Amino acid sequence: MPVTTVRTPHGTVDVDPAALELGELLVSDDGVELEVVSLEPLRFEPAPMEDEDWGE
Amino acid sequence: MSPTQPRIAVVYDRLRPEERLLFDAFEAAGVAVDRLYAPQLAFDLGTAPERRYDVVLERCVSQARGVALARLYAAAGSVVLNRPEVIEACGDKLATSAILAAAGVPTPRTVVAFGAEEALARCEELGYPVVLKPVVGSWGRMVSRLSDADAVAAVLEHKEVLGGAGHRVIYLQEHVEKPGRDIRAFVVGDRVVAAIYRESDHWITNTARGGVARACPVNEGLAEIALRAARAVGGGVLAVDLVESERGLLVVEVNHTMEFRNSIDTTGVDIPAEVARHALTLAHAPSSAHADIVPPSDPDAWAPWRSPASSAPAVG
Repeated sequence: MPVTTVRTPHGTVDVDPAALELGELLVSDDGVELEVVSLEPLRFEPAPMEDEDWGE
Repeated sequence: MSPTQPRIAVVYDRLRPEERLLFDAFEAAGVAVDRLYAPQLAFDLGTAPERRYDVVLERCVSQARGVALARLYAAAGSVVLNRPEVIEACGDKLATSAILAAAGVPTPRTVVAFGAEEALARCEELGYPVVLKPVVGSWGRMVSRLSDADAVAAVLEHKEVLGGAGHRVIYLQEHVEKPGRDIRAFVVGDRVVAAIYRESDHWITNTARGGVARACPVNEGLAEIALRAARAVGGGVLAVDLVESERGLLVVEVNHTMEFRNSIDTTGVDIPAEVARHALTLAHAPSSAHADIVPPSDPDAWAPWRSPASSAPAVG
């Protein structure tokens, strides 16, 4: 599938919707880290800040 | 999915390279895997749990989410890697230290204090510098090497004023002089499949903080102590971090959603394929044959450290 430019309130991102996964992080042209929170419809939200209980 | 195929799921909340590599590993094995994005999951606790998966790999970066989901899938009868008890044991440094100590696994000397005055007194006993760590956290965040009592007092005051509830527990460790590196051993089931040195000029050697990975030979001594540590916390798929010291290898921590992106090319070991193979073995095995899923080595010794929630009845 061709790469599509998606406009968000936090800048634009170029994506191949078919290759996206939920939870994936992208960086917009405004430098905002966006998380893929929905594929149908395609939706991004600013990625949450690292929390205290995050880890490996 | 074929009815005879194992039913495998990976549950995650942030798609790291590791999760993609795991997806690819299952695909390469010819097994479909359900990709469960945690923010889209919900469970009705009023209905009987349904065992939809033979094996669930829990890969959340949020420990709270991860342990909750592990409980839910375990309650539904799935084999969960890693089990909720293991996540609790590894996700809390105090629990990890208590379990390792009870199992006789060598670790840096560790003390826990609950007030600044007592913490300062214990630092004198440990000798400076001391290492102050949050009990919950990873990637070397908020880990401090403190050279004297003034530094300790200042950080404790910051924790008191700015910190949350977790900062009321003061976890202190002796500072071990490392030879510019530490070791991470990757345990999958009952094997150490690979190990790396993490080298850095900085005293914190995590690769997340710029440490460089280099292959580390898995000799008998390293394998033995890493497996002892893994078994002590309950076994599964784990990364055991160790430091080389005058007293030999010391286990610093055990990680339950291990990151391995920098370690595949470095070691030549296909770590995600090893994890997938292990998960598929568990999926095909009768529950009694889950040899690597063992109870903690001394449950009585560490149970008091567990949070009250951890003894909650299973739900699904």
